[in-house]
Amino acid sequence: MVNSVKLINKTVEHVIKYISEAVFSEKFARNKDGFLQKLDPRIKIIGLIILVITTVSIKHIKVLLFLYILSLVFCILSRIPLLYYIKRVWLFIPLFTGIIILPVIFLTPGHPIYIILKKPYYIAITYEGIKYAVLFTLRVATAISYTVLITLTTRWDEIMKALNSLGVPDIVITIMTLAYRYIFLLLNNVLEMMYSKKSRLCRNLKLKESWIIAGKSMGALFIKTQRMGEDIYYAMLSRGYLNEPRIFTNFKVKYYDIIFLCFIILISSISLGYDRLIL
Amino acid sequence: MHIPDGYLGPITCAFFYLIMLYFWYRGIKALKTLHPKQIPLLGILTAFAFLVMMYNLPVPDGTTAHMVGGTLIAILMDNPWVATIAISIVLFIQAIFFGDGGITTLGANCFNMGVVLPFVGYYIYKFLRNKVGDVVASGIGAYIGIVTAAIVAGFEFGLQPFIQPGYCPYPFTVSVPAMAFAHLTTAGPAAAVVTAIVVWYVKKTRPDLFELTKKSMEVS
Repeated sequence: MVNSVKLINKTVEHVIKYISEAVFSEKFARNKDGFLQKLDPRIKIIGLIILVITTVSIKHIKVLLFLYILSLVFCILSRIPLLYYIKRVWLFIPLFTGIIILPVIFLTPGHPIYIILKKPYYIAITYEGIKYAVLFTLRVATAISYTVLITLTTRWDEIMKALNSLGVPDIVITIMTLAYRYIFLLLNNVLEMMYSKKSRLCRNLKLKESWIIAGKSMGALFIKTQRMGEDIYYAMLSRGYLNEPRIFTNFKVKYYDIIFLCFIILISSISLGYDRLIL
Repeated sequence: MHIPDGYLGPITCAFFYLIMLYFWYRGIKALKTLHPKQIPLLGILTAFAFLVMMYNLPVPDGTTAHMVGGTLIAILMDNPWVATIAISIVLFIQAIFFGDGGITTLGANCFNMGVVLPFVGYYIYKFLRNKVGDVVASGIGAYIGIVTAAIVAGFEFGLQPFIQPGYCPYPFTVSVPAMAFAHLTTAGPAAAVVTAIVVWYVKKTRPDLFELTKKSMEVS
């Protein structure tokens, strides 16, 4: 049977990947000597988001290449192992994007580089097609590079505080903080459920069986979360929760941060200007 | 169905952020009417929504598919707005921390999976539950919900070449059938069966919970 114990194996693999990624990110974010780690989280998040938006708006490979190299420079300055960073960015989404975009190489009309077939259909790899595919993939990869930089250099609580001081309502922050905290507990729960199920299996699962097992396990998880929700509320009450979360922040914008933000705005306006007006 | 950064152009992204501002505003307003007791529950439910996406469901073509869980949460909590908020937060966490989806496309992703999917699924469930029963209705709701969301995502991809060329290159004659086919045949049936089983399981083991959530939500 094709489907065997895929439900269990793949889910376990996925869960472990998420946990280890989160743990790794925290490790780099706690490194105080890095360039991006030193910045005020609000300024850093705004700056990197500006760069993501700029990246998405760029239409020329040259400019994108410049932005991509800039992200690598940020990575080195922040003391993140370059190879780890590149692997984390490129594995999966840009790779997957590269495959999705592949047909465009043959479909875009333009100067042929290599003619595969003349009859009965004319199929050729065109210069324009390759340009399109490279541009698209590089854009996706560069945007992801900057997003990953946010994660790798900012702790979760800092991101939450920064979002709060940028105007995201308290109630949303409370839910997010709770959610993120309990994701890891529940991930462990799922792992345990998967292991215990696997240890009791003595044959492969059929497709339908694996769906039923997944459904039951989600149902059990839901019942658990219901009870936990109540417990957490009482735990919060007993510690003096007054229905209004207080989020303490001690962020201070320094000269260093202002210079960084000016630099980012300069870079993104030069890139955009060069992209639209000169090229 | 998570659209990464770079697939949609700036205009499309801004458009969906604008649409989502309205839904987020309505969602937060709905949150403020909840009993304080339900806020931690909502936090945990968001974590649950995240976990639901972690299950790799085997599908007939030999690969695995994911379920979004929007319909499931809307049904279990009897309130689609809860699903909108929970799924939006999950998508944000995934985009920022785990690189699934993107920052610029967050609006579009939240619209597809956090608005279209739970609302379509939930109202189909509501419409059918007295005719075919809770379990079957939830399965049908989940199926139609995920397929509709996929088709909407397909349209977003497909309109992109006409709005701003240079991004996702495939017109909707290609993208809509591609998205719809994958979800009609693989992810859709998996989501339908699993959602129905969760509803059946929760109803069977904790019928009080199923009724309780409904009542407490109505009171609040």
